[in-house]
Amino acid sequence: MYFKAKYCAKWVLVKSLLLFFMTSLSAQEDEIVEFNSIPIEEVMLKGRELPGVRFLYTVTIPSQSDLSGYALSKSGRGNIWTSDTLNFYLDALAIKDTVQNTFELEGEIQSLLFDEKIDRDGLQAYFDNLVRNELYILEAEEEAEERIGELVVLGNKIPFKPYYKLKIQVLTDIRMIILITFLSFFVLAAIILVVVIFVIKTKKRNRDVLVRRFKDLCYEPLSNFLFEHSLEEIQQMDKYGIVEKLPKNLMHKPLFKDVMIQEIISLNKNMKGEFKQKLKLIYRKLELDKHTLQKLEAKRWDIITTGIVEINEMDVVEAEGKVMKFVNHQNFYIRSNAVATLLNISNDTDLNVLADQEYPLSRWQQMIYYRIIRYTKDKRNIGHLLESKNQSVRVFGIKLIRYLGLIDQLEKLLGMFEIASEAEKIEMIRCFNLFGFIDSLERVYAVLKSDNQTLVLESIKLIENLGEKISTTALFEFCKLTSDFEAKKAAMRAIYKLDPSIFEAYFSESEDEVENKINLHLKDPVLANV
Amino acid sequence: MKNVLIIEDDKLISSLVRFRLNKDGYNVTTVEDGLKGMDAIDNSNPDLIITDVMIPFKNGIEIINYSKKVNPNVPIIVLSSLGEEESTVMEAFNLGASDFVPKPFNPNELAIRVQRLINN
Repeated sequence: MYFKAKYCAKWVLVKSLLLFFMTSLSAQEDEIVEFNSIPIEEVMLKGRELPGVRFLYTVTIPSQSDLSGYALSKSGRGNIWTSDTLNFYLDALAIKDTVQNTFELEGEIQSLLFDEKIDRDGLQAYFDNLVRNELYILEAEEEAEERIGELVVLGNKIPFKPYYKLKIQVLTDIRMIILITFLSFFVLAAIILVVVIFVIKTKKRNRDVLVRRFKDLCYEPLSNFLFEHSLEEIQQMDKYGIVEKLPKNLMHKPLFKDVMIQEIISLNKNMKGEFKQKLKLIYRKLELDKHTLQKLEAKRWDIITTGIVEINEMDVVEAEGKVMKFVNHQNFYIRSNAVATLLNISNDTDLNVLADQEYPLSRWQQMIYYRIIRYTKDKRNIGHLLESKNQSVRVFGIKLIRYLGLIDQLEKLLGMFEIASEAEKIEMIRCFNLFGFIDSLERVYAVLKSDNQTLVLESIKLIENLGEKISTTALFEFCKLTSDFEAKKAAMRAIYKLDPSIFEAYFSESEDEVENKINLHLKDPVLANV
Repeated sequence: MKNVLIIEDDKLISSLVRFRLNKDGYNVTTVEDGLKGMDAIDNSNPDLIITDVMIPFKNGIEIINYSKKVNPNVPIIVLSSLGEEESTVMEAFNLGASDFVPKPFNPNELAIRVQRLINN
């Protein structure tokens, strides 16, 4: 497939180059100007002199006649008489007629071009060339007879007829048309792109200028509300009372509303105490929550996300139902913010919004959700996450048990251990390790047979930390079977810590070179913890 | 009238704090980056400086350092987010910062701290 594609690419390249060169050549070709050929005889019979053309009359006579009186001279051999080379055809014709009338001999008029014999067709071609190249001008010749010496005037009267007409071949060649169309398309696309970029940049610049202006207009009224009015006073105000103190003519503009919301949210993040309540009250009184909810109807993902974030920041609890439909949205940002918002504003103690997640949770999402769950006042049923169909949610649930110190969930984890996936088992073992959950030991021995190195290493770490000497048996078995250096080193370290005497008895006489090296490594005070 | 210099890149916060301190009768100057902050320390002769840690060109620590060289008696309040590293906060105090106000903050509380430091 790869070679076929490569071959095709080469073929296209060669064809393109050929097309380019051929079209270049064809563009240089010029067309010979068409003209009507005039029979040479017509010109000759008019008694015109043609440059380079001479005539010779030749006749052969049977007897020893003397034709010297007819402007003929005898040639070297036989009875062949020839005339001198004549400039005019009519002269040759006159000699021919005379000889014919006198001796009844035909004879022959031969044409000479630069003293070389030439046949009629050759002479005609030569004449055509002269005419075509304007080396012989018929009209001029005719007029020249009448107005000899007026060459300049004559020249001016002759219309210019170029030999080569510079006709553009481009438009007659389909390949050239395709090439030009192709290039035009790119040029057009480039122009459109530049125009679009210019328009977008201009719009963005204008928007930025407006945003800066609107921000400046927001500072003072917001400061006024926060410092000049108590919470009760703001509560008693209606929408129009608040709008009075703001730029009224801008309040209907969506951009101004957006700026107001952003400034309120920004202050809400940086203020605490009564100021937060005041800001939320102003937000509600100005009916900016309606503007926020409208954003959820947008088609653009970034607008929807902004709307969800605003709902989250300003605690628009009544929007719970509308946000719910985004929790399994295909867009990562919409989905993440929707879940975070619902964790914040809803009373979903069972964390159903998380448990029902269809998409896997990223580490970033887990971090965000953890922070929300950790700092919410209501106690959440983390155990419900362990029943989720989504593996990443179950893993997150196990992490939460570890981070939040939910020891009461350890038995449940142990019950799930056998059927858990490797990723879950790793988290469970970390969890057991943190809490020193001794009941997990039997289950963990079985994990030592796993091919997953991380899982095995975590298990060895747990066995080591639980500190049961009996575990050395399982670890010895593991050391015999494993060929993984890292795992063997961890297992030997665990045995060494659990029971140094057994370690010595077993490994001091080991014939295995790797085991001997690990043994020396573990006993080295400098390298022991490396 | 006492002069207070606020070095804060968030214009909304600096405007709000200025509004609050103006109410208490202070003459407040606001600048939005470290370089302008250093110029203002030289030119506006502040009686108290409120500075954010994360500001453009020169950070809050450099501002404290510079201010202590120019006039070691001017109290400085460091205004920064709670997420700021402990080492940064400790460094600010070691260099001579008088107080640390974490964000989110209460502007009234900040105004009381300003009053206390200026009166002292």
